Amino acid sequence: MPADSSRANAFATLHPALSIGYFVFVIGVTVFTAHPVLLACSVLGALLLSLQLRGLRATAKLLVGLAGLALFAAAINPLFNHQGVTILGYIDGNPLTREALLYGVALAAMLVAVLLWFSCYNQVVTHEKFLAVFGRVAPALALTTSMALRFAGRYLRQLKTITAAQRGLGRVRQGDGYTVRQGDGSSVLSEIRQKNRPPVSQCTRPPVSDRPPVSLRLRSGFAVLSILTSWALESALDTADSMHARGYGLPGRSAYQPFRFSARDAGALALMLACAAVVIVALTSTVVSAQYLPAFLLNQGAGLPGAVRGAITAGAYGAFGLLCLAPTLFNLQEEVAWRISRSTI
Amino acid sequence: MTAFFTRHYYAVSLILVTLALGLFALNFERRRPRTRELVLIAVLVALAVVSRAVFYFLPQVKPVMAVIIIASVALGARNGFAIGALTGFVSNFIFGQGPWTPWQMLAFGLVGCLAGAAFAPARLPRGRWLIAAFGGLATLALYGPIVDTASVLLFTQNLSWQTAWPIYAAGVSFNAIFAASTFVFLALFGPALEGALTRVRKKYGLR
Repeated sequence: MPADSSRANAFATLHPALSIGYFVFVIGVTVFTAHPVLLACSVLGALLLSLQLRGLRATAKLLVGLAGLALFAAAINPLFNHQGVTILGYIDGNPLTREALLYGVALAAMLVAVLLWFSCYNQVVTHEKFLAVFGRVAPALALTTSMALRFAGRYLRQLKTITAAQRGLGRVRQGDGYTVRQGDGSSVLSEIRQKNRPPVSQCTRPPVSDRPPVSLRLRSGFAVLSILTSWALESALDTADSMHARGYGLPGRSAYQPFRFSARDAGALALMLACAAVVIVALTSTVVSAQYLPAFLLNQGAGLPGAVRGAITAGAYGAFGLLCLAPTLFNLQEEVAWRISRSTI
Repeated sequence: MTAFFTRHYYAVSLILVTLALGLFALNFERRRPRTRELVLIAVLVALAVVSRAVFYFLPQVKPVMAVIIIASVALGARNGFAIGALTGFVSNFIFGQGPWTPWQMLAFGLVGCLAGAAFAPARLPRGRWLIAAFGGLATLALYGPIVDTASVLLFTQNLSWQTAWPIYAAGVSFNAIFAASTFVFLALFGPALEGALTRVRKKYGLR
């Protein structure tokens, strides 16, 4: 079992191919249909999962950051699109229509849902999982990607060494900006993320007037980068020769598979496929559909009898709702099972 | 007739972009690149990603494109596309994946591909100012519009100039800063980076 098998994120212990497929489907339906009921399910599911995986603080921070983008999306349609049939009023002689307004709101909801799903995706499908899945389909690209990710972390550490050496020579001044903060070294990503925050050294930096001008800092920044380039290329070619010597790329070699497809994965897959099938039938038959412009039309589907359409619509809403809530429910159920088993000891 | 998907412009464009990236992936795998080539591409991608972090003290000023262009000029059009597309992908593992990732990959990849093709031996001379001008222009006229078009497709239902222009207008200042910084980076430090690449290629007898 991979290291991230904490109860709070039990969803992440499913086979990575399942997780990737899940996010692709849910995000795809959210982005492509813009159906109000499906959007509501998607926003709710993404919000609950984000609260569960990332906590209240991180989720609230993301939502505040998203507010501007959502407002932009909600405003741009009614302000610049005058297609709708129901005219609410005029701005500068241009009609403001109800349909464009509705579409703007739907778009804002869609963006919020998608970006929340992506923030959960980053918690569940870590890059080693992504590479484990795509390593079979595209081995050379997956290897290159994983090497690039690994090198990025190594280079940030090497930058620190180079900067220290340059400082010793008096070429780079204290607090010149690219001091790599001493991370816990646990992960490449956390180190780079830290780099994007103002470093600790900023607190002790000389006042702005004493700092070298930007042109000089740029110059020393690029001097460090070009030293890094030479070092990186030489050590990488040694790596390549070493890989070659150990038989990389020879026929008949297999790769280690860290993830196994278990019975539990099969059950989850069956549930996901069943839900997805109902949603896909409802969408392709256009029984569940939404059109905003020029007129707002909901569920204007093919010529099926009313009862059948009602059943398909209800089924699709239920199935997509369940699908969106599935990760949260799955995590909750694991948590409850753990509590029960612990209390019976 | 109701459309199959309401947002078919976005759906179709996303499918086309994914297909283009898929074809590139197929071509890359079929070529069976040698170990040294793979490692070299990975190094250049990592350098481009790290360069995004080195200059964080100047917001919006990113040398990523400059690194991609120099690498592509040195390694050719095919590898240029690989370096560009993978840089978009890998850096988004750090700065956040989102609905923009495929377009960003395509845009970075195309600039790399174009740089490799334009400055191939016996085409344009590899002068400092020519490469810098190319970099600025490609960022402004190719990368910017592609990424902005992705936003247009994401933000609107029916493609129309009316709803598209405010989005393009909002992107102009970002694209201009990115293009200008690419120009400056290439003009000031392009030759140094290129020199480092050439030296290593000579030393290890690559191509």
